[in-house]
Amino acid sequence: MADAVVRGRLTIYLGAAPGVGKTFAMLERAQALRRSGLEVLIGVVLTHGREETAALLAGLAVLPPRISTEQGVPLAEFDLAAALSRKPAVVVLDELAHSNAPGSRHAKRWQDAEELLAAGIEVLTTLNVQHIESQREPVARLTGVDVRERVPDLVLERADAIELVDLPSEELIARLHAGKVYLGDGADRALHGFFTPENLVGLRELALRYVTGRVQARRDADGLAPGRSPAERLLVAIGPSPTSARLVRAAKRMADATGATWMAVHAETPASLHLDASARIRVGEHLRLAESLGGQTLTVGGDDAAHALIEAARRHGVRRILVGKPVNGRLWDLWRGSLVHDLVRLSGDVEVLAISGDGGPVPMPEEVGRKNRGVHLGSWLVAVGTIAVVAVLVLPLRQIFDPVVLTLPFLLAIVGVGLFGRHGPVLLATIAGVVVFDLLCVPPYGSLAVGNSQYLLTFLGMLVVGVVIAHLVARLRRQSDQALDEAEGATGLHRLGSALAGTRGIAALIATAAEQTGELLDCRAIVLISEATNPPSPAQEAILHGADGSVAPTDLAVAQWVLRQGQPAGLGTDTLPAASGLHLPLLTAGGPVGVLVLTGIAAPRTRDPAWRRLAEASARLTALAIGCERLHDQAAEARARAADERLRSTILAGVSHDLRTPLTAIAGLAQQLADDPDAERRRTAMTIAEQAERLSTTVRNLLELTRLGSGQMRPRRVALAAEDAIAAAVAAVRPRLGDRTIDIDAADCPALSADESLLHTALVNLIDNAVVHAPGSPITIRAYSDPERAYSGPVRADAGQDRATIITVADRGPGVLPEDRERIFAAWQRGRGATPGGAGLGLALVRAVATAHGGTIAVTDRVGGGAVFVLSLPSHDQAGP
Amino acid sequence: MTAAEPVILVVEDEAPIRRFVVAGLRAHGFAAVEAATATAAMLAATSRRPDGILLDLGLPDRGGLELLRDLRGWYDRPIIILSALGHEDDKVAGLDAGADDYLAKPFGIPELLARLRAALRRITRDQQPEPVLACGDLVLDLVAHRCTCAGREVHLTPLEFQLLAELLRHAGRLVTHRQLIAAGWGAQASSESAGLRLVVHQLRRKIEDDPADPRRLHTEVGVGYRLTAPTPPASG
Repeated sequence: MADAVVRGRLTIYLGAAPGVGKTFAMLERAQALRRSGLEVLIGVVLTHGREETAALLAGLAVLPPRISTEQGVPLAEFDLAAALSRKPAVVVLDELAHSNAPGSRHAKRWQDAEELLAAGIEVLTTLNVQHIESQREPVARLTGVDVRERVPDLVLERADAIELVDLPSEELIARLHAGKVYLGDGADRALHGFFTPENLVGLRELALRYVTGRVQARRDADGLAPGRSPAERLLVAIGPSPTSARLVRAAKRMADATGATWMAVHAETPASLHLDASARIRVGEHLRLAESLGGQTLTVGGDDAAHALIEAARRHGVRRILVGKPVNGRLWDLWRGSLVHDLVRLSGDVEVLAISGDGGPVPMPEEVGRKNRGVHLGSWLVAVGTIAVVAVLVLPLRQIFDPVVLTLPFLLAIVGVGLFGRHGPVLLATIAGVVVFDLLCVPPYGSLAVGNSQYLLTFLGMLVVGVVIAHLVARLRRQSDQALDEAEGATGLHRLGSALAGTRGIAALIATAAEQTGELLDCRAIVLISEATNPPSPAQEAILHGADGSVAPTDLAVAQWVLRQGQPAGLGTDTLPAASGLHLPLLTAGGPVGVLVLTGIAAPRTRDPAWRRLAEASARLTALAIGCERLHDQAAEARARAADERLRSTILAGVSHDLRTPLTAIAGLAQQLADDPDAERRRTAMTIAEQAERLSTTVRNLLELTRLGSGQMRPRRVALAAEDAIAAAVAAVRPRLGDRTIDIDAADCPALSADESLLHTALVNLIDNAVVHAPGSPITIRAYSDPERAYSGPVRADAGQDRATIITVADRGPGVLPEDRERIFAAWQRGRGATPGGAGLGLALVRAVATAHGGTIAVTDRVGGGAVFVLSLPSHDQAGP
Repeated sequence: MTAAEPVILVVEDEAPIRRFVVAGLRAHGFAAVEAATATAAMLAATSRRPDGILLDLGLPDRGGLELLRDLRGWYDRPIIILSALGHEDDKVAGLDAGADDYLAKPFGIPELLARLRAALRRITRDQQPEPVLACGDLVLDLVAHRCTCAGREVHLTPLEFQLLAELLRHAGRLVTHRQLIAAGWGAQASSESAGLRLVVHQLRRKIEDDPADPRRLHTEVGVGYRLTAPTPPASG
């Protein structure tokens, strides 16, 4: 995320069982935080009517729950949105493992906690050890209960503190007996079910072990335990079998126990092409489980799984491979090969550990949202029809040929059906073929009775051939379907890529991406992009509608969440699953630029990893294209700016050069003519010289104004005496002063910090301005340190010390009209009442100089008539070096 | 100085300016040699041994600054820079590289002559080290470490004394900020950190009748200072 929000602290109060005092400990901490002045908000606390716990809520703000009526029964849930908008420092959230009611933003409370943490809010929460994902099997073995509400280990590993709230088992049992522990339907039932004394001792051991493991892991991570071989790696091979999940958790526990890092690897082989959609979804789920437990995940490809796994192991320096123990018989292994045996044979110096569980027959394929490629009633009819046609054809031939020869047309028919149908129709054709053959070709005709027992062998042969063909056909078809799917996906991605590459302009890109993606993924696709900002701001509320039309307000809210968090949400995910579509973030290196919304699809399909991969690839391509377009826009803008700047500099240099030459010659020659004895010609020469000088002043002002404005000129600040600066400026304008008097009062002014040349230019222009616009008027220049006003320019390193030095230039001229007081400082503007002749650049330059110093210039009325120009500049810091 | 006319080399690529400068010089008792490029200037400087050089920094074939540094390797007579609008940095660099003075375009011949004459006077004066420096009625006794201004004794801090001595040694000519900082703070001091302008201000309050209208110590904005004999007050 581009936001630099510091992640909030997460403290988990871990216990072995309810009743050990987790909530109590957590609330004590909450009270301590409140006393230290932090805003503590109670998100959810379940006191279960315990008075000492309830007493600890005193003085703490409690967030009203969100009442969800999704399923008719009102359910009180933690109100995440309200908590986020209140932005407290700390949120107390009891029972981290809780599953939220349908209709909540997240499926699980730990996801709510994650979002609070991401928003920089500290979270205090409680958890029982049996709810930790990696502890699922040990808990099940111990208690015989498979806990359904589980929290990924990653959440615990990212916690800043895990506080073990421990209570000796005897005391807990005593508390249970005393009815001090809430256990749902009654203490008795609980005591005899889950919370037997044995279980409680076992759970306590698990909790203690878990915390010990975490402490060890933390110590290893901090490098506090020398002499331990670092980064031992463990690889767990996973597949579609449901037992793979158990394997992943076992790997996690083993890795934790030995301080190893671990990775879950799925090997894709030609054989895995058999896998139907639901099996592939399970593979995806197992990989996600591994991720949620903090493991690395990897999918490798190869001709066979064992080779691919061993190769992956060697590539990643893995010393140990974890694989499911085979459950198939020896004959099956002889026929299909055994992964474990192959692994052991190939392993070399890599250790192979077989753990109970994995293997077993792959469940029967079921169709999950996959595109149906021509499997209709039609192919069944084709099967029956083909056999019928063959029957009609062989009928006249049965007198000529031996019945055995007549099996050939039937076999051909079965193969023919196999070419067009799936294995079902093939099997039907086989059985029908055998029956029809028996009826028509095997004497006695018209009866299923078989005259010669040798025909039984013929039937068997037909059946075997039919079944084998059906099997081969089905497999072939699956492979071709898969290949087709993949080819279609690849082609679609290619099409999307080339379409995006050939499209210019954000609006056209959005339209193209939506159209192509929708076609590719067989759904309705909408591309929403955030307002183009630089840098892209993920907190953007404004989100542009895609060209494809409007999105339901609820989906728009989901899209905004996705844009902010940069994570997928909506249909088929754990976040806001009630949305009508899947929302994928359009991620670029600079953060999310938009959201791809996919609607009009069935939820199960969104979980098909192949489809998901395709969807994510489309999102990435689209994001890339939009990111490119934005960069392109920015680059073009920057280029235009740079060209502008170059042009300006070139023109300026040219103008300056072309003007200075004739001006120098004119002024020089005119001055030479000023020696002329003829008074009239002398005056003419003087005028020429004066005008040339004025023109050169204008050129100089223009040059400096442009350089200041374009940022080419930075003030070179030095400590200056205001009196000297004023004296130098007065000396420079003295030839133009005539007989007017200048009164300078700057002796007591402390030093100021300014660029000598720029300040000189500003003062000369201020005095010149008075000379031109207040003819004959005396000029008063004052400089003083303003004791009232601290310098209020841009912050400097020594900001606290800065004070303003004020220089005022006052005349007794006509003054400046109030409506002109701002205008006269703009370039090429002069006061309306001003006498003609001013260049209109002088005051603009004064303002540019003041601004460059972080100062100000303003004009006011002078008491007694006239104008006062007030220039404010930073004082020189006397305490400085 | 010899009775012969002093020879001035005018290095300037713009013909109109060269023409009016040369005309001005010849009209006031100088002999002028012209050069339009750095190469021609180098040739003329070695062959003619001019008494002074007027050098435009913007030359077509080679940087004027580079030429100046080459010249300063062996040429010890006055060099005056002619600087263009918008090239203040080059001007200061030129002065720091050893030029004696500068003239900002546009300039007049009287101004040019005054600068040139002041620079040429240095040749005779710098010959012998003097124990007492003087400029008008400002006298600095380097041996006795005393300063008098219009006959009245002035008390100077050591730093002010150093700066004033440097200014008096180059009386009538431009002394750059860098020169003064080197004299007062040492060659390594940076121009920003040293409070040169504040010390000069203190000095002014001691030697000027009205520090707001200095007659002896003049500011050359952005470049340095110039010490002269008291100038007459302005007509107004």
